[in-house]
Amino acid sequence: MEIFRIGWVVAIALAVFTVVEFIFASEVHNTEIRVTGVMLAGTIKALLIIWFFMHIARAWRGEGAH
Amino acid sequence: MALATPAAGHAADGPAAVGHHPSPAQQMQIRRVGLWLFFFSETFLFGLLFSVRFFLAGTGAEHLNQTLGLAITIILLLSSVSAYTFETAIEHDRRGVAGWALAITILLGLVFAGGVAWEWSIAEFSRGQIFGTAFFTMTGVHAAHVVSGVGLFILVGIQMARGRFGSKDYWPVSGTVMYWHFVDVVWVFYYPALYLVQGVE
Repeated sequence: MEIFRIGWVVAIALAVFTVVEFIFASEVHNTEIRVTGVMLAGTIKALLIIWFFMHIARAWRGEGAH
Repeated sequence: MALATPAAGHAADGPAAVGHHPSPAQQMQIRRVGLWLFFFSETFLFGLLFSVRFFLAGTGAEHLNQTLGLAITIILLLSSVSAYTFETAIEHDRRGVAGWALAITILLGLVFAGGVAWEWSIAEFSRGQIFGTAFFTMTGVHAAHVVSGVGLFILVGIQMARGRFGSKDYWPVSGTVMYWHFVDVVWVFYYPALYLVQGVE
């Protein structure tokens, strides 16, 4: 199952940042800080998906294993 | 003859141009870049709707079911993990794992679409209201992409059941999975924009 390990590591990271988003939304009352926090957490999640799941580096590196 | 045949025309380019075809690795790279360009163009559509939501309604929002929003977000993120598992399994000729991962991805995609439909049915605002216009348009366009992604997975599954795909032939799988991840990335931004920026009580 070694080949699937990255998937689960990224899944845990996505879960953590989803929790961070929700905490920001429920606990932070300052609108600017709240919006910045939830959008920053969302951006990090998107980057994780683009880098690890969508293999964006392969677009210019060519073939490569997981 | 003044008019050269296509073959003669290629020959005029020099010996290196004759019979040149991209290698399989180059073909794969060309396909990947093409798909990324498609994602880039789609980003304008989703980005436009994203900005319209803030332009029309600021950070304000009507009441939404936060539990449902969080649940469908987790479901879509899990579907990205299963889609990644599907792609990885195909690339390593693990067809048994691939079959399960594909089935789970399709199921999670359908549950997500069902969750959006449920959210629509219980919404306490109409599409005529400012936030409603943004909410129904954003979730509707996104859900249409989810449903089309499920359709693509079903087509890939049918081909896989006929014996296609493996470590030497996985581009259709890879392309479909990348499309799925792109739809997931869009939701990663839509979820906070629709459910979280106004705060959760």
